[in-house]
Amino acid sequence: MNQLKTENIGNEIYFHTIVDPRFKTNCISVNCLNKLDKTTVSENAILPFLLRKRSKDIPDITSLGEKLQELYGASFFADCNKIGDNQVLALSINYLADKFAFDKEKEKESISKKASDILIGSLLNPALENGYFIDEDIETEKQNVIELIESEFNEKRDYAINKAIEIMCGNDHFGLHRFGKVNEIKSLDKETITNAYKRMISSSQIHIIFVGESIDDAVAQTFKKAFKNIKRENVYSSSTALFQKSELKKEVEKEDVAQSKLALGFSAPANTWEEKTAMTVMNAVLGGTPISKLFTNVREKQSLCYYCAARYYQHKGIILIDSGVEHENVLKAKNAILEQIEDMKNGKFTDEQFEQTKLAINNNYLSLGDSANNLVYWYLNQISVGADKSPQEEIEITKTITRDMVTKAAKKVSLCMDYVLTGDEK
Amino acid sequence: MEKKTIKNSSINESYICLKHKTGLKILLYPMQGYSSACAMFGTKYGSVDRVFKTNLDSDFLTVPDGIAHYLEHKLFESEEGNVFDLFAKTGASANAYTSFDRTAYYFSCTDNFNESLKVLMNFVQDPYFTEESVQKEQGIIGQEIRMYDDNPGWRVLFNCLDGMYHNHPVKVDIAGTVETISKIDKDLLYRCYNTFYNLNNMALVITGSFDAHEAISIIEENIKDKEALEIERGAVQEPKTVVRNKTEIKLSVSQPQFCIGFKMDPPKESEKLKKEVAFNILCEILLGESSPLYREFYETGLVAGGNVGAEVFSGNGYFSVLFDGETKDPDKVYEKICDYIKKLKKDGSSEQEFLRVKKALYGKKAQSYGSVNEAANVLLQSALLGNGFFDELDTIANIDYQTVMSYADCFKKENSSISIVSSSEE
Repeated sequence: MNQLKTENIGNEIYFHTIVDPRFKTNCISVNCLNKLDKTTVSENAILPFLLRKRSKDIPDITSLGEKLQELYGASFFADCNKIGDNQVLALSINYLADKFAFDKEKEKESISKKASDILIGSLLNPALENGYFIDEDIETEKQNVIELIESEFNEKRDYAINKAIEIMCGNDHFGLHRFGKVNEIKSLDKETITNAYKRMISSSQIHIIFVGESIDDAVAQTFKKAFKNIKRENVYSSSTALFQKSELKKEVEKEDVAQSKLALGFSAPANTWEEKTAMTVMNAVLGGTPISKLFTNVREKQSLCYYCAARYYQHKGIILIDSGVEHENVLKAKNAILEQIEDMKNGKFTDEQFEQTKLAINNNYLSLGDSANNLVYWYLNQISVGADKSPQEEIEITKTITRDMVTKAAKKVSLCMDYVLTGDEK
Repeated sequence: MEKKTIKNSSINESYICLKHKTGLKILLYPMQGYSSACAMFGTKYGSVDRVFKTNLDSDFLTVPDGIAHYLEHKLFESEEGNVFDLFAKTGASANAYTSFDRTAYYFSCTDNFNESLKVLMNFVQDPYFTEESVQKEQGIIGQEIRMYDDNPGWRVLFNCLDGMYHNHPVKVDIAGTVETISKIDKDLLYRCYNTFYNLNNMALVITGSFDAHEAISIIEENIKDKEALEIERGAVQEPKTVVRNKTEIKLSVSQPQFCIGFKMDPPKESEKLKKEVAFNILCEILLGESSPLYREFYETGLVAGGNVGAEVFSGNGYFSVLFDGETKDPDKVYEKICDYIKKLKKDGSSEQEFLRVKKALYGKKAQSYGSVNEAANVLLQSALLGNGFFDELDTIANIDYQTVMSYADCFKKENSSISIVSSSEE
């Protein structure tokens, strides 16, 4: 698997590339890292959507749509994510690899060059009126972001997980919604938004990630030239702090649901890379595969649920276990889950479960290189905490993890959040 | 076994096609330079197949709703234990799904491919059902059904199908209901298994990084020779008309969700792919990112971000086009879509727009051949339906303007139905 190549093209502006002839899809992703903070989260969140909508060169969404269709059905995404204590504002394009363009098109600019121009234009040449974002654009994008927040309520499993994290985190900014708050977004004015944009360009850590079948120099030069003269100051230096263990919080939320959704949050601290990997293995043995403790006991043996899984937010040191159960079985499921964690603390998992889980984890890492998108996501996760480990390197560390390390990691896990979304009248 | 290699020169890929004397169709798509492989073993048996007989039966049998899906779950239990344990040994990640017209069992792995292939072939050909294990699954599938009961996207779709189809079983929930699955016993499971899991009704496909020679040997060694059965699926009398024009329910959602279905005549086998591609193009012209309707939805905020999904919904005895999304005013969205369809039927689109949309669809389809898992799904579908793996790509490339426009008349408002899930809080 090809290693990430990184070039510094400005003050905390990086151009990362992976080139591999297997890909039929190329991805270019521009990611602006900022501090995840309650004072700026909402005004930052709207930016990628505003920038995507139109730019100086692309005056409306119909022109944008036509351009993307011309580029063999390229997809242009705007997004805003939480990675550790970073709010990552992203604009990305996925498109057909250059070599598949029809012959007569090959003489003109490559698909990659055109895709790069769209991205750079959107990011650096927004459509402004008298130096501010246009009112009509602000209104539509406010509504878009608000509806994105509100529609998460429709997917009850995700809603329960996000609620549990929000309540559990309290003042830790990781509890913030990645898009901020509805009432804050509603009250954003064009001055605030435009200043947030200027701050994003001058001060966020910018990581451009290119993963594709080939890259020509014209593309690399396009990015270098575009960012060369950007004025940069007070550039954000990313750091992520582990979630601090807190007193147990409990919440029962009543909604009109057919099935109760249980979400248990745990502090799961790990400092070194080795400890984090041990916790990753622990989490997977506990609830990451169909041979895990949660799947085999809570689902298969006790038939209590269809899903019961554990996820580990490595950068923050949080584990979240969730399950969908019959209203009357909430307590039974909770106890069954906690029992599996006790087992992990006492080393009560088989050698087979342990070795085979490591095999499954490594199988997953090895297959990441087959998808350009997955590689972008992997490296963005690494970069956001100042690392650059390849999936191959992570495989090697995983192989060194022992049963004792896993038990030791489990002993650090402690319940901080007990959340239930239920339709049970009782 | 007779072996054919079929190549597509525009994306420079080829696949191997074999047919075993039992009738099993085998398609292999080796992908150069990839790390993972995916093998899928599937049967042309899904939720719509509730009435059937074989050449050995005198009468048709009607089975309870949800049995194809129930069978899928139960096949993972063998006399020796759980099949996931066998895959865990080889490090493969395994799963399965049941849809309207097929059931597929698959694994993906980066190592030990041959061993995993043997596991796949053996467990799918070796059913083991007991009253106890059948009973145990009631609770698990019961919770799966409840999970979908809370899913507005799932509910709005099935209500739309219910609004369109008088008799066709495509309107029946794939998992059945808690009540219908309570009627499933081991004898019924064996009956369905022995009918539909006859190799003459099945296909095995492999994509990614694997040795085709070795794979063919393993397949030949592990096929359980059985007499080919001819299956007759119960004929369905389905009128052209819809059942009702509107279906509305209330759920816990942030704003209304809609699904609008335009019912059409199912095409002859020889015309099916052409009709599907033609409607993919028509939908992109109607609602793609360069369309006036998309722009209107986006800029008025009637649908946030202009996000209306369009899907060609096609199978044995049914063909419809579905539009879905979220909006505060579903009736208005319905009206707008009908208005634009009327305009399209009257004026058609420009040749330039047609070519551009075709290019976009071609590019998106070409990219799908670069994904190990996506290609496996398409390959399985091709095998079970008797299509070529590259047929859809070729059809997109070659279909002409007149053919596509001629299908626009199939959109008939009187044969359409809207399904709405609105908020229970209002």
